[in-house]
Amino acid sequence: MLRQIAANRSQTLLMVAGVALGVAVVVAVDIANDSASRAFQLSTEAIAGRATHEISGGPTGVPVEVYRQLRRSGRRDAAPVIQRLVVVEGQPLTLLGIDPFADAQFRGYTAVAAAAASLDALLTVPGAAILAAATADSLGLAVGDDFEVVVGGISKRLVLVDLAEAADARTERAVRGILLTDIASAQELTGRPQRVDRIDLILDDAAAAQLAGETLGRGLRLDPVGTASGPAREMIDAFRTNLLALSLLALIVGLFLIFNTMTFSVVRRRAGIGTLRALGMTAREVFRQICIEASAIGLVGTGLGLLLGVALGRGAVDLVLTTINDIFFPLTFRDDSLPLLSLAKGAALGVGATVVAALPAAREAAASAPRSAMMRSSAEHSATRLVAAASRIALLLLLGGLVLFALPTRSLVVGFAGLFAATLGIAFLTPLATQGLMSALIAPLRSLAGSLGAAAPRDVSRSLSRTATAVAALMLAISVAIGLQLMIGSFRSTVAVWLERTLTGDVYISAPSVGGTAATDPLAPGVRPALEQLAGVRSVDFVRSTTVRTDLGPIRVAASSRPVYRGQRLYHSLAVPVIELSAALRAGAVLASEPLMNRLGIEVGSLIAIDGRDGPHRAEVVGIYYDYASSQGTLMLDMDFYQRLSGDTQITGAALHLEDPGAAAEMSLQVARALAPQQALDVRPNRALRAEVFAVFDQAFAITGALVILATLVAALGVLSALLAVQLERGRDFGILRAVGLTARQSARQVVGETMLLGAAAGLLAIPTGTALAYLLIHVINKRAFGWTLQMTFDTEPYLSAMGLALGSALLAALLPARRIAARSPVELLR
Amino acid sequence: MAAALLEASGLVKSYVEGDRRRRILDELDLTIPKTEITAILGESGSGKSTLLHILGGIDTADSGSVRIDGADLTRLSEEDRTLFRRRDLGIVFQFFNLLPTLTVGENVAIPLELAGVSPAAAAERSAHMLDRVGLGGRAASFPDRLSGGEQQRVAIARALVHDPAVVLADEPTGNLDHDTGETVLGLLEELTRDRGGNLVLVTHSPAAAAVADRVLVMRDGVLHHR
Repeated sequence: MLRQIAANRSQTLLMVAGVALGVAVVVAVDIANDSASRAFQLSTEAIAGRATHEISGGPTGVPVEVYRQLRRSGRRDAAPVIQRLVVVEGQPLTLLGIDPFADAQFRGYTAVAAAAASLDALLTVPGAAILAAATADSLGLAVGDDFEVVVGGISKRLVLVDLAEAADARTERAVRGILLTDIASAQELTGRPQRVDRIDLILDDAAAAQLAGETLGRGLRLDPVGTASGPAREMIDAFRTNLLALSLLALIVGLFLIFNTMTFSVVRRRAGIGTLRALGMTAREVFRQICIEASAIGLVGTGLGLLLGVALGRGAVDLVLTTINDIFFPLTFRDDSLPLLSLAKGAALGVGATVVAALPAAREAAASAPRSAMMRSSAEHSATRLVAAASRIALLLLLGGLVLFALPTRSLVVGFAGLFAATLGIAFLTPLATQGLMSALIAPLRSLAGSLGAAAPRDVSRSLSRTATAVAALMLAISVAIGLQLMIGSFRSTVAVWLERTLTGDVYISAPSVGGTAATDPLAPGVRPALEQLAGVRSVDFVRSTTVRTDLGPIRVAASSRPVYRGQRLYHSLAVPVIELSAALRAGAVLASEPLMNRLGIEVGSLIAIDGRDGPHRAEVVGIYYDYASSQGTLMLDMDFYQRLSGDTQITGAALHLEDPGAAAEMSLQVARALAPQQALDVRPNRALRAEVFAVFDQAFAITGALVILATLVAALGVLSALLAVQLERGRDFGILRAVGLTARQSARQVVGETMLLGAAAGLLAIPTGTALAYLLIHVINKRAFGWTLQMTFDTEPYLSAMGLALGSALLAALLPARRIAARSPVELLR
Repeated sequence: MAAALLEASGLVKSYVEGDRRRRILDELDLTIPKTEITAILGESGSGKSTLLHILGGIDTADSGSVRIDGADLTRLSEEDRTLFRRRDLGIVFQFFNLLPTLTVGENVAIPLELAGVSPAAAAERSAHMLDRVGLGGRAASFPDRLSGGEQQRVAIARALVHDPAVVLADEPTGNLDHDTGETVLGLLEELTRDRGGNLVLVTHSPAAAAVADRVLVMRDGVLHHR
């Protein structure tokens, strides 16, 4: 067996590389996904601790009095919490304001606050805070030091009074992202005296039911823990599913490569296998031999893939966490430990997949009768069989895909299953399509380059059993590149149109975001009047972004002083004419964004009970608008109505409409300078804000691009492997041509030409496949994952770059075989 | 003796087999005059095919020289040897060596196209040549549809279509039955004599060698007159 592997050194190396890259991509994405999942878990579980329920009170929080009442009524399993994202020395941390006497039973790591030394300091030193030892160390702080903390753009000072030591590694990672203070300090920091964000509770179901029924006070709500982060979790899961699907693509392309190489290995050894069979080797022994070879290659490739995967995974973690932080959920926690399960999954997948991909070849070798295995013609016959068999499989897969898409479900996994079935179905049509394409090319190439021109497409067709898989793999990778580029391009242009219609202000003002997360910190009270008095400003719009409690769970709201501006917003559906919308909203109706409609299944005319300070208000949804700011969905309210409903008069953002829009940049600087004494604010001209949106957009798709490049690389390896196989077989043909006068250079050109035909076939077939893929990504996958409607736009660039990628990959793959053919003497080739 | 067309002198070729070196050609000399059919007779493994490959420039000798029609093949680069073959040599192989993805007509036209003849003109000359070998109606067929004898006739047509100075034939009947072999050999002889050309025929069969004007026997790496 070792001799066999050594004899096909380059083939074996390529196969090992294919397995390694496939495994590496899957492991890297799994590590990144796992890290994202754990970071999210830490962010939610570490903070929720052992709490089972929480009492919350909407945007204005919960009066401290509610907590006091609970304690007075004998309930000891309750703890008040103030939670906010803050920045210390540029590092985002989660501020956790707690009651040191009550909190340890919820979050073990806060026990430090109740220890004698800390407790005294927390209660007596103004601005006393506790940090994890590792965090203090990274910030260069020691006990007794005072430091600056920025809350919503407002700087305050705290004193480090103690260090939290974690009992175990998991707690250590949780504590590392937390800045602990007592409730009073936290209230001071957030500017909300006498209020807390929520009250955590440990309740069994009966107690929960009883407490919910008790008069907690109007405008309060008792929910199981995790309700608030539920939508974010759904979105992160969808994001992770998308990445997983892409990583599986790289593995599938790798499988094609293994299948290709193992099949070729069997074809090449057909005579040897035939002789062994004639000498008495049983079919089972042949089968076992091939499987053992595949396993050996699978093991080596998987080992290398795991190493590479871990290295790639480290980079992927950063990309994924940044994207989640930017788009879905603020992550101040991070767990970089290596997930052994990811490695185990990668190992099982690598070895298992290699053996599975080798099974058809092993079966073919074992099934060959001793005589036919020795005949050349059976190899040729198998090409015809391959086309027929692959076409039948294609039909089944395409039908399967159609059925999956027709299923009445919004499941993303089912969507991806359908996508995979359809794409693989088209990939299995590759042999038939390549054959058709090559037949069509014979006449034009003959008139262009004579007999050798005609020979090129015929050679491609003849070696279809060796090359079709490579063409299919390359086609698959390139069609995904086209599909993703079209989807991203459509997404980009849809967002551009949406921004054009939505960002009508000239200058935008908000509290600085923490760690890239959209700001919901309020503007300081003096900011609003200051903005309204600015010279050169035609009008100012204000917005309050926050989360409200509803009968459908927590929902983000944007309460705007001008929710319907000049009728420019794009609507999916409306219950009233646009001209009547403003009046409807002032009267308490709401607009829902498209992702909210998709996530919660609401429609125009639906009623949503929004918690208000005097009880729930049943708001009618009078319109659904397109919105790409949030995948969780948003309710748009009239600001006056919202303030009456909630009693919350804070604002989180403002848009200035200038008398001279050309002065936006100058005005931004002026406003930032003027307001700096009150609050450090993000003041951005319209253009800068748009650029930021697109920067986040591009960042979100960075990992997608990397995965496509890796998949294409695996596919190019496939083409190289197939070409080396074909070149080994066709050496004699080139020997004949060289004998009758074809020069070495012309031979190399012929090899390159034939390979370019393969590349062109892959590229041409990828055009309709990629377009179909883009359609499915836009209209099925994206809609199910994020709930956005994207306008599909066509651009020539994805097609041109895909064709370039196909031909470039083919050219690269052709260089080695062409050199080999050219370097060998005619007599060597003829032997 | 007529003027020499092909002259080989002091040809040495050896192969390494395991830890010893085996000399196939041992200071071999050969002179072939114009318009002659020469047969080189030898047993399997005697080195006759190696000699033919060196004469055709598709293999190189360790030392010695080969001159054909004034050109010293051993001094030419690989590229120039190829161009020389393209112009001045025709080769017929034992296993026909037709290109499976070219039609019969295209197989015959290839040397002309490589020499720069337009595809249309090449096709015309190829058709004419196929007529001469008795395969006039088979130009559009692929080689795998032809019998062994027919395939060898196509190979002969390919070797002669560009009117080369020398045709080298390596066991042209070695893969054919007796009757077919005789027919093919007869055709090769007829075409060579008709055009007043040269044929160097390598064979292990004394019967095949009988068509030659001169028979040389290959033994111990050198040629002996029979």
